[in-house]
Amino acid sequence: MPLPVILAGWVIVTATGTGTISGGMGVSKMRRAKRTVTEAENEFELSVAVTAEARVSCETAFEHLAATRFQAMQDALVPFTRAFEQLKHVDLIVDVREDGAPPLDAVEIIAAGNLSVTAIHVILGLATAAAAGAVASTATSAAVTAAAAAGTGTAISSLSGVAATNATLAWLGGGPLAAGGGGMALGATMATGIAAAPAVLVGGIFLNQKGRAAVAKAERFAADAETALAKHRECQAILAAVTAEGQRADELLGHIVRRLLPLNGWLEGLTERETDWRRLTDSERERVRLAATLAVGASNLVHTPIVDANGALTQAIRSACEQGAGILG
Amino acid sequence: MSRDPDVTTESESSSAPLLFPPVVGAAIGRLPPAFRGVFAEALESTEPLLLVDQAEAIAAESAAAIAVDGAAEETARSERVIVAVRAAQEREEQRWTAALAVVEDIDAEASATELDDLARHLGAGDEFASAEAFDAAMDDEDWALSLGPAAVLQVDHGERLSRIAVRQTPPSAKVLGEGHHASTPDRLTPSGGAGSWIEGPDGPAILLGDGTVVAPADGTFARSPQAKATGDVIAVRAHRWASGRPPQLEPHAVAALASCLAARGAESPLAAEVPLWLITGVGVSEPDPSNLASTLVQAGRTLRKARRAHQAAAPLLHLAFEVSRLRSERTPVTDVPAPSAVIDVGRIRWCELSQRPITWIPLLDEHPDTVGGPDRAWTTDPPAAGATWHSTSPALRMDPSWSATLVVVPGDPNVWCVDPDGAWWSLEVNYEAILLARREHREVWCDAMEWMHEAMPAKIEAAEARADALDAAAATGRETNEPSSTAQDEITETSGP
Repeated sequence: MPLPVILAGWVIVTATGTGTISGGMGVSKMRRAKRTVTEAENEFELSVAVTAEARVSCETAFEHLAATRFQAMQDALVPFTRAFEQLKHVDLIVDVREDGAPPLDAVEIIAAGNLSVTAIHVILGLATAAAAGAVASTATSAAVTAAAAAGTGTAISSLSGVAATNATLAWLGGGPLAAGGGGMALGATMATGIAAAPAVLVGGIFLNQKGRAAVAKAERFAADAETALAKHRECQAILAAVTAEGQRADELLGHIVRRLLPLNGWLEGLTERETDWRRLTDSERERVRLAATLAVGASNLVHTPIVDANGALTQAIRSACEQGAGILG
Repeated sequence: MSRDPDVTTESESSSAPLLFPPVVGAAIGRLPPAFRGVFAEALESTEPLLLVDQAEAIAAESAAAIAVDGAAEETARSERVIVAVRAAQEREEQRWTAALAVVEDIDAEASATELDDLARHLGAGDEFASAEAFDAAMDDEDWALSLGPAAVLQVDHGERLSRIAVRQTPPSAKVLGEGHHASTPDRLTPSGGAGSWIEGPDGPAILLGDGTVVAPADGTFARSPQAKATGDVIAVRAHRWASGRPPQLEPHAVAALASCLAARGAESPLAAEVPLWLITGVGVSEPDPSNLASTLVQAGRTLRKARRAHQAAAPLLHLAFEVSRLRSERTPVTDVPAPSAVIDVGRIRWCELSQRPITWIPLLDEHPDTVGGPDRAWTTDPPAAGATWHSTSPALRMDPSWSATLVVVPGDPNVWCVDPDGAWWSLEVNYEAILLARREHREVWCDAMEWMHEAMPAKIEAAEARADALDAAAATGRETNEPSSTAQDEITETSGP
């Protein structure tokens, strides 16, 4: 094969090959980006569902607790107060809502973990980028073809004249056929190839850069999704702890009320007979202490919110959150 | 913004396009000289456009790296919280179980010791701790049994801010009372058209919202009374038709940046470049008034007239440039809010679960296609250039009713905080430093964009010149060769079979 043909062919193959490979890599990267976004989105949606489930469990536990608190107030604390105030002044603050229930603990503890940039937005962003970029890249690729054609023309025309052009094309084709070359036809093909090769190269590189940017955008989204997922896991752990607190408070309050109810009857009978503390026996005094201690314990469980609108978690959970966040060291 | 040498110096100094793989350069180098220009000229003419695309990819990768670092930090923090919460839950479980066991075991005939235990497990208080203590309380005329909610603890809001700021007197007396009124926790308060533009005597001037403007004067940014400026107030936004929305600052951030630049007498670009430079960090002149539609029509006409491929090169490059270039959109501002002595730039919020301040300083566009990613306005660190910024709030539960306002006082580069009671706190941090750090990874794109604006007109002119020269050569060739059909015949004969 004559040298000019080999050279031109080598350049054409190199340029178009590089462009095609780059373009192929770009397309592959875009597919990978889409997969990354979809996977991150799926994992995020799953986590959102788990958090929602944990919140429902928490709310259910607190609804039970609210009912138990109402019963405790109505059946145990109010009768206790009526009887005990015959012996000593007592302040019972009945903190209830219009429907008679104590204020329900607020359990909406998540303000974070909401991705402001959804996967859909990202994908749309990529689509927009592709559409808007298409104009620029198409124009650029077309321009490079035209510029290459101009370059070919300049090179050929510099020899001046149609004869010179034909001679050049013949040279590019490896010389006249008579001399064993490819001739003008092959030369023209080579010239066309040289003109088109840069466009393929530029188009491929454009596509590759777009794919590279798409992968980076998808990785950024996945990282932000990971941050949100971490927040959801944290939220789920706190909700689980708060739910357990609610359930245990409910259980303990129920037991205290069951212990207090018979003591209330006894205290009522006692105060009907005697209202002077000093005249009670030691045994009676201790039983009054038992009733009062249970009443205070019940009152604490009725009135102390586990989570309220001001974020009053139990000190244990709050301290854990602070410690984990690095505030307490 | 200064140009990144990695981007421009190499590109400008090299005749062979750097963006292309070395194998392509080697192949071009082996071509006969007459054909070497085919590739070199064609590829070089598109190099600025390709470089912008490459810079966009680099900025996106940097944004991804920042997000990955932030995710690692937040994941580690969350895992620590989870471990601590689970440990606390276990301790609480033991406490509840012990209390439950004591209550279950207690009966009317309980011993004094059992009663003491009960009082302790139920947290009943000192008065119930022993028979003697209870007896004393019952005998005490002043003591009353209280069954109700515990006293509400008063929150010390000052303590919240003291973790990241220092209580100080404001930088000027006239700002007292500013910055906290009408402040909402999740929205900035626009004031006096801060970030809008007006035509000053020496070019465009930006309003700071306090009755002053910043404009270039003798090569530096200077602050002067707004009264000296004339004309209508307009809003300026950066725009680009191609992919990658320009990373543009929100108006309040542009005003605050301008204030900082004027405070230190920073060097300014050319007056015509100031709006886009302040908004995006790209120092380019305003594009000519012709819009894209007229450019498209113009390019279409030129392409229609083109009879040969080389005649299309210049209009196509022009079209690609017009689509890729940065331009500004100007709209009149009809409703200018009341002036304020401060520029509202952010908020300090409070996370009720972790008991820590959360800072929100929005700067940029939040569109996902923004070059270098959408804004990352949140941090749990003390707000500074080196802080880790997140795209969403890292707080699980923010106090909905409390927030402190972050402001920049025109003439002072410091970031100030005004608490809900009107007290002033200094964050001891430069607003410009925070802004530049947050925009740093986008600089590569800004540099590439500047170079594209600088280089493309010359590339287009060169393409036009090449086409003209080729047309002229072809015309000369026709005149020379028309009678010489013999020469062509000779060639045909020699190259034919």
